[in-house]
Amino acid sequence: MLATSVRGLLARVPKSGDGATIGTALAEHGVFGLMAPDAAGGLGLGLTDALAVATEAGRMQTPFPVIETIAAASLLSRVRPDAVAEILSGAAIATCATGGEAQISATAKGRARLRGSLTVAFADSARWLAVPVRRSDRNDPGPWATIVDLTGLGPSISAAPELDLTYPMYRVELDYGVEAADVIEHELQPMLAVLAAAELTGAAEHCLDATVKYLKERVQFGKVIGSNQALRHVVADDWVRVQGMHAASEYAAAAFDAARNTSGSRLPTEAFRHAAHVAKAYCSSAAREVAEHAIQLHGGIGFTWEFGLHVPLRRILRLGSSLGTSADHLDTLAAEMLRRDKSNCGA
Amino acid sequence: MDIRFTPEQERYRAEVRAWIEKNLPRPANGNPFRGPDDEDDNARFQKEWERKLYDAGYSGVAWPRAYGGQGLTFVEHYIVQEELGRVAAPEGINSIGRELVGPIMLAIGTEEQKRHYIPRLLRLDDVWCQGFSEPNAGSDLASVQTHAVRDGAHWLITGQKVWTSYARYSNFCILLARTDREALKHKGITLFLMPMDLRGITIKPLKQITGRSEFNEVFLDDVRVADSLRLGAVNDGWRVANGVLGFERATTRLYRQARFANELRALIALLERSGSRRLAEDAGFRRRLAAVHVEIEVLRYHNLKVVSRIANGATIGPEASLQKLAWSEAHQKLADLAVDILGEDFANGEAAEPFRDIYLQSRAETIYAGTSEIQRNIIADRVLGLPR
Repeated sequence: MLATSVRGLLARVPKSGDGATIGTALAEHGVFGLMAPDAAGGLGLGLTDALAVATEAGRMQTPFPVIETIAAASLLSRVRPDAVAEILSGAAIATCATGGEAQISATAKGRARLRGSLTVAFADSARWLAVPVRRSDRNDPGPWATIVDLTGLGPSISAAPELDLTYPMYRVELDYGVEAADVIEHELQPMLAVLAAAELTGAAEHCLDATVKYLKERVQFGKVIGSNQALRHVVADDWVRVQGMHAASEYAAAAFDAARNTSGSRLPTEAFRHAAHVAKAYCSSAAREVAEHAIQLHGGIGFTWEFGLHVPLRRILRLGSSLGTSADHLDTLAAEMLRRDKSNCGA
Repeated sequence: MDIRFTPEQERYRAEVRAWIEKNLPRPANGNPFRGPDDEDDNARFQKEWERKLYDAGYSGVAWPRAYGGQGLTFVEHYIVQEELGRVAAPEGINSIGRELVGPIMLAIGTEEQKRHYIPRLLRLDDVWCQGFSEPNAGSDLASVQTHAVRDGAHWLITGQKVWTSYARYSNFCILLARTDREALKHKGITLFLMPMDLRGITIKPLKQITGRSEFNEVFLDDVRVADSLRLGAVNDGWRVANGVLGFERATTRLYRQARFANELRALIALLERSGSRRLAEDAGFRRRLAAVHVEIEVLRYHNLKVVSRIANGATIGPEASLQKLAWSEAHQKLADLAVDILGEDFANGEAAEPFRDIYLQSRAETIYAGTSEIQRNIIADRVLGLPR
């Protein structure tokens, strides 16, 4: 039901609208506070619920950092609970770093230095930036994250080349002091990867639906082209891919929620991180195949700017290349498998 | 998606695991389980193993107690399947009985049939084979030519069946035969429970590309079958078989997911033992390994979705074709990886025997129980609503 109402809402949001209008409309529906705790004015729901929103944002190619804001709000509620209200109301935008790297090193007592070179969506209009970080001051691998206020600190922000026309990306160079206490253990990166997997699922399903519709309408050789087995089999496989994408992102979200529910405030388990790698690896490549088939099966019209299939394709390419590519996640999984095999020797 | 099991279900899983650990002879080298090479020995071994499972209460897990089942839920059934798959336990010789005859019987059998046949198939008193496919009715199953003609309280059945697994070791066959040659092809077919010791039945083994002979041709020449051995109404066989086949396609291969994961672990272990550097040195192979792992994981997620749907009383629709396509193609990718990564050892290495077998066997998996192409047609027709 959440998915249906969000779908309706996102369909009404003007695609060309400015960030503020879209942000306010989404905020009114409580979308940004989905994962923020009740105490901070959020809905206190799980990643499974956020997933439904992310899928719809992908389906509609919503020109707003929806998943970044949801994830950043959950982090912000732990680091700066007093600042959550302006995100939930839509008065300020919170975004996340989805590419590049950032490091925390210890300086004076209680202080630390955050250095990074990051890729960030909507950095020019956002106030808060959530950043997954590595720590050189601690052995504990975390994962760690922090959130910084972009106002008045003058980090260098420059526009990145524009692939996804619905999603302005920026390069952000950070080098400044933060409170050590503001760097916390948080699953920001895998959480974003799962939300991105859901967006990829929505965008791919949008492409598949458009293709199936077209195959039922387009007539060549005196019959609708959807009766050709060569084409029917391609879309049948794409349907299988989309079902796999749904299953992979839903499972990862459920793993996150399950770990949170059973262990109170404890961090989600390895099982969630593993599932996040699986989901992002699978969805990044499957979505691209579905979008490429959509263009092929639409024929010439699919290659036109006007028809618009490049919009979800570009979104899919952008999402696929951020938060770890398919190959990156496969490399991590392979390393895990080989390590596990060594430790289980003879079992 | 419900991905968690209750503490009771986890306890049940631990019991099942402990029982299997104690009762299944496992190959010492960590390879997937493999039965005796001799066909007769293998059939005997498989039968004994299935009987053992039944005695321990791990067969007919979700079937009613009145018919010899355990009266538990589909979730416990799934747990048993997953644990069996996890150690690549033998799949048994009576899978047609457990996975096809039992469910059809439960759905449409008479009370008398249920009480008689279901406990017998669970106890391995009856081993079943499947008489569906024919030389001219493969993918186009509804065009079966084998025909049954009324003869008082009996039917006289004549024709030829093919790809009949374990026919030589079966004492019953669930048979599709044409009972009305005038009707539309889907509407003139009836299901029979045919004893395999009747006069007029000839069985000829077929050798498969694996070198084994589980398949057979079955020739029927005026075989006299009593009308009481009819299952369901006359001319209603296609509808019945089709309905149950869908459910079965979605559920009966649940254990394969866990078995494939076992095989992938065995492949890594084999490479380690043989001192192969391919995984260590080649990122391409590592990625393919992980990609196969990802597909097998996604298969598990699909399984969990199906299990929670069934546990919540929902019906199974096109998931059936999805499952069939997904598991059979994932297994072929695993097999292809084994061929490429084992290199020369795949062809000549002693220790690679299980993977030669897996590779060859996996060629059948995208063919039987509805080819991949037929599954894609079903999806295009019934899910996507595309014109034919």
